Amino acid sequence: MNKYLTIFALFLSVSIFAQSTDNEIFLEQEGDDLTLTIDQIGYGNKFCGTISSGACATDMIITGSDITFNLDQIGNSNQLFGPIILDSANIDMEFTGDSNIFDWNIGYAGSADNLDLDLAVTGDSNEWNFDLGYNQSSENFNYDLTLTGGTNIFTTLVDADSVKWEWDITGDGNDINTQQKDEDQILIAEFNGDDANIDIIQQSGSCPQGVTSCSGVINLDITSDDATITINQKDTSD
Amino acid sequence: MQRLQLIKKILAISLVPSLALANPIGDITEQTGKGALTRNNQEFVAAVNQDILLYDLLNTGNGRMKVEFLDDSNLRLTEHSRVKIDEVIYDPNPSKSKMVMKFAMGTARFTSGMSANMNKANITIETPTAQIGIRGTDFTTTIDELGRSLIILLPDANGDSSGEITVTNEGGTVTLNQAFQATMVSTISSAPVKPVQLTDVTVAQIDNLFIVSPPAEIQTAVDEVRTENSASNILTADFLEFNELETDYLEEDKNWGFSELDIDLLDVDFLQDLLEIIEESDLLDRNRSSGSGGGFEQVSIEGTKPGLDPQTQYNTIIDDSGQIWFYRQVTGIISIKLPIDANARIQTITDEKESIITVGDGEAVNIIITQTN
Repeated sequence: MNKYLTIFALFLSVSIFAQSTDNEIFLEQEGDDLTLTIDQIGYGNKFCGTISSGACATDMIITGSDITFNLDQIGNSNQLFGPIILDSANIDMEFTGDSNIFDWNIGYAGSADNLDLDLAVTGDSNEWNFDLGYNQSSENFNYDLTLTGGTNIFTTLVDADSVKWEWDITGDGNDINTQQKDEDQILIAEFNGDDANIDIIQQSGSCPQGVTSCSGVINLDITSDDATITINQKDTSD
Repeated sequence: MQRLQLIKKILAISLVPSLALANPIGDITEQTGKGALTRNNQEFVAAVNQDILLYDLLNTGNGRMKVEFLDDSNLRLTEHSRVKIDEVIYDPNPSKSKMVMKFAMGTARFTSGMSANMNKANITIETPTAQIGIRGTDFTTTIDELGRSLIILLPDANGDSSGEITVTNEGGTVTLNQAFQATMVSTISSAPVKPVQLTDVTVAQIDNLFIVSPPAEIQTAVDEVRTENSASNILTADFLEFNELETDYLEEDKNWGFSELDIDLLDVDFLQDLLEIIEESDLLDRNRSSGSGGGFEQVSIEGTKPGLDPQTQYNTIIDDSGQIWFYRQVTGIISIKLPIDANARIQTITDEKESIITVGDGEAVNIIITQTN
C-alpha cells in the first residue's frame, strides 16, 4: 500500500501520535512504499518517538522498504532521533540552524540495504551521530554530505559493504570522526576550513569469500591553514 | 611445523609416483567473481580450498584467482586470464623438482616460493611467444589474443629487484634484473625488445589494461624495433608456430559458462582502474612533457620526489587545477590533494616502512596515515 505523508510544521505544534506544546513530531511508522515529506521550521523542533522534560526521550521508528524520506529542519536547537529500519530508501535531509542534535541509526534491527542518504547541514555547533549497520548486515550505501558551518561534531560509523561517501565540508573548527568497516569502502572528501580535527578509520572487516585482503579508497582534497587529519586504513577488522 | 608438513606432502607424492597425477600440487586460496578449472575435459567452478592437480587449466572470467603451490610459490590471475599447469615434480632432492606452466592469456603474476624444495632454475613459465626462466623472483606477464607477451619484473617488499628472470625465444634472450624492468615479445621468432625501465607503474596497476594500452616505455621500444626491422619482421614471423591458434577459446567459454557477454564494462573496479590509470598517466605525461619541472618549481616538497617515488610509493604530481596530488596505491588507495601553497606534513606508517613528506614549512596541516594489513 502506498503511503504519502506530508507534514508542514511552521511555528505550530504538530504531533502524529501525541499532542505537544512545542514544535514536535513523534513518529512510529511501519510499512513499505512510504513517501514522507516534512518541513519543520522554528526553534526547538523535535522529531523523535516520545519527549520528556523538553527533550527527545525515545526514538522515532520508521520501518519498511522502498521509502522516500525528505526532511527539512530549519531553525536552532532542533533534535532528531532514530532508529529506522529501511531497505531501498532514498533519504534527503536538510538542516539549517545552529546547535542541532541528530542521533540516528539504521540497521539496529532488521536490515539496511540499498540506501541513498543526502544530507545538507548549514549551521554551527551541530552534533551529528550516525550509525549504519549497527547490528545488522548492510550493503550498498551511498552517502553525500554537504556541511557548511563551524565547530560541528560529526561522528559516523558505517558497517556495510559497498559504501561510497562523498563529503564536502566547509567551515572552521569542525570535528569529523568516521569509521568505515567491511569491503569496498570509498571515501571522497573535500575539506575547506581551519582548525579541523578529522579522524578517518577505514577497515575491511569481512572480505568476500576467498579474499584475504579487501582494502578501500580514501580521496581527500584539503584546503586548510591548521588541521589535524589522522587516517587509519587497514585490511582487517581489529 | 608447516615446513615439516610440506616435506611430508612432497615425500608422499614423490614416493608414490603412480598416484602423483591425482595428488594435489596446490590449492586455490582466493577466488572472486567467475573462475573455473578444466580437468580431464571436465569443468569445475573454481572455489577456495579447491585442490589443483597436474594438467589443470585455470581460467578466470570476470573474476580473480590465487593459487598457492606446495613449494610456497603462488600464482595470481586477473580477469579473463588462462594458465595451464603443464608439469610439476616435487622431489626431496630440490634439483630434481620441476615446474612448468603455460600462460596463455590475460595477466598473471607468479611469485616463486621461499622454500628450498625446488631449485628456481627448474621453474619455467611459457607464453605463446617466449619462455621465462626465473631465479627467485616475482613477475607478471600480460598476454593478448595474438600471444604477444609483456613481462614485468616486480620489486620486493623494499622496492628493490625481486631477483632476475630471463626471457627467451628463437630470436634471443634478454635478462630483467631491475624492479619494474619490462620486455615485450611479439612473436616466437622476433627477439624480445631490449629491457626498458617502467617509471609510472605500481603493482596494482598491472592488469589486462596493458593489452589495450601497453606502458609508454614498452610501446616506444616496440616501435623502435619495428622501425629497425620493418622489412623483415612480417616476413620472418612464422604464424604457423603459434600453437595457441589451435585452441578454440570461444568453444571453451561456451562450455564453462561465461563468454565475452559476461564482461561487465560497468563494473566499478574496472572503471575505477581504467579512469585512474588514464588520468594519472595523462597527468604524469603532461608534467614530464611540460619541460618546466611539472610545476614543482613553485613548491617546496621534501621526503619524496616528483612522479613515482619507490621509497615512499607515492606518485606526486601537480594536477590540472594546480594542486599538489599525492597518490599511493598500496594496501588501499590514499589520494590527497593540497593547494600549491600549502604547508603540510604527511606521515605514512605501514607494516614495512615509514615516510614523512613535508610541503612548505609543514606546520599547518598534519596528516598521519597508518596502513596495516
